[in-house]
Amino acid sequence: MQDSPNGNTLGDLYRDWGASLLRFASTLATSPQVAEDLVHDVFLVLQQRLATGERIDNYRAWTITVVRNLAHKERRGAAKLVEMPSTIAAAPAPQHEIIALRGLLSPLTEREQEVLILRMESLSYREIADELGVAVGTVSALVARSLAKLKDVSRKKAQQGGRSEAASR
Amino acid sequence: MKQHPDDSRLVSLVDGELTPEVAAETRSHLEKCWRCRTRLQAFEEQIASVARVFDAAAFADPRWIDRGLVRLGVRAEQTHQPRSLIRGISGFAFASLVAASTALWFQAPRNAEPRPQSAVSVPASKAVAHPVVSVPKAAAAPALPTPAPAPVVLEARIDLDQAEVAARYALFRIGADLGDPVEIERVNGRIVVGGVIALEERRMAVIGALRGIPGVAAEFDAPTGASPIPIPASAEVVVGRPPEVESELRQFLAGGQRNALEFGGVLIQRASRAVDHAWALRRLEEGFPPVKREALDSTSRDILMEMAFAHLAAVSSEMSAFGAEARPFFERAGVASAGTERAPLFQLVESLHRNTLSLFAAVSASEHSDPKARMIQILSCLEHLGPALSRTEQQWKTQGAGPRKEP
Repeated sequence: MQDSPNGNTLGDLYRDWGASLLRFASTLATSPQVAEDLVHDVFLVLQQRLATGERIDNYRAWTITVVRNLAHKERRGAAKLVEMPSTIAAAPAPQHEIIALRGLLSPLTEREQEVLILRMESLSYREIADELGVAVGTVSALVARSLAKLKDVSRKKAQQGGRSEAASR
Repeated sequence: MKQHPDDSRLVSLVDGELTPEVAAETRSHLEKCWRCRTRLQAFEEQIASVARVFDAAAFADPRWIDRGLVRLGVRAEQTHQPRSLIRGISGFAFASLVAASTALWFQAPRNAEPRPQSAVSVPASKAVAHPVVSVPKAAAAPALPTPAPAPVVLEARIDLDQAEVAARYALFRIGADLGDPVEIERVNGRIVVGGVIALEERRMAVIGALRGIPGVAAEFDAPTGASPIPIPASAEVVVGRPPEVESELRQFLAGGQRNALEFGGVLIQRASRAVDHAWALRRLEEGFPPVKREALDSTSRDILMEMAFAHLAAVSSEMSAFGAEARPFFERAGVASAGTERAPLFQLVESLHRNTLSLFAAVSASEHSDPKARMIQILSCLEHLGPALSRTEQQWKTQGAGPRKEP
């Protein structure tokens, strides 16, 4: 098996990072199946790169970049993903939870969503900035703005809830 | 620090992204400033609540990793059990059942009809033991949209009823049994799920959800032309126009027509959601009448029951919210409900939906229609919903739990 830059095997990388990457892909992809195909393709490319002796310093950031690119292509119908062989058994995807997450993020702009998701995936501001090609200061501003927006949305919802409760009395 | 730190700096502090000097400076400001500490706390709370939703969406089942490794060729084979359709009752459906059963029911109807204690309760058997349902080995069959490259284990006869339940369940899991124009047919010994779904993302999601279910094919089209927009059923009773009800409506809402519309919007949404669930339930009842349900294997029957009870719970909770919001308002407008016959749940919900649309069309457009008659209809539907829900629930319980045919 191919060694990764950290001395881990590809299997270790997958175990360590695969589930997080799958969640990240699910927030971008059109369905959990497509997300799975995306992640698979990313690791496939990683496998090939490592086989040619290429050095990848930060594999987490690298896989995120590739997932993002593939997801954007897939949405435009430009990506040809390797389809899942149907003979491999699947576990149930946390579909409702993914929908809830997408719903939560929906008031945000695409950029804000990306920043928040990447931050939630424990990337540093520097890593996020590199990933999105913006300044570190922009990342902190985007994180603050998206949190403030979400706070605002939940406050409005709470007020509405309160109003309808009051109306029922 | 004299100036208050801005949001971006506060968040950076929480995230450990400030240089030690700036962090120390900010912290010392926070020690002195109540306002900024409160702001910081608000951010931390918001982060915690986002994290909760985020963590819930984790692909926590180790089978996902196994599957990925097998696919990459890193691992030879899977050690885990084959694909499980539901991990017990899905958390969401279970939570909604519990929520609905504990939800407050409408205020006591004025008619002497006894009030149900809980509209939908969790069947004892379900609450105790969540069935872990797994599709038999033969389920590892060709993927959906692409034709099977190699017929693997397809000699096993596919039980069409079982396949239909699995297809319905896949749609149910992504909410595609609510309002999406999806048809389920049996064509040449297989289940064909088709229809026209305009939004590509949605179409792909539906196809993706159906992928890999044995004996099920998805045939979806993109829309070819402009689809007609459904027009709400027009008012059936036209009895002149009693302006006093309209003005009463507006007076009650204090803010005039805009508030009436806003209020109406909420009710219409609730009624629409309830009618979507009522339709979904009706399709289950039509697709699987009691005789057919009894002939199903226990796995399919459990899945069917899970879907039915989730829809019942949704109708119940939407309608109880509708009742809580609308009833006092209608009472203020001086309408008393008249009795209706013992209508089935579906008819009641549908009639309530139709009447709600008509009512608010009438109020907002001031057309020749009778808002009062609509309100009476709505109230009487609401009053008969409780018993209808209990009856339907009872029917599902008794007819779903017949003699069990094991797979």
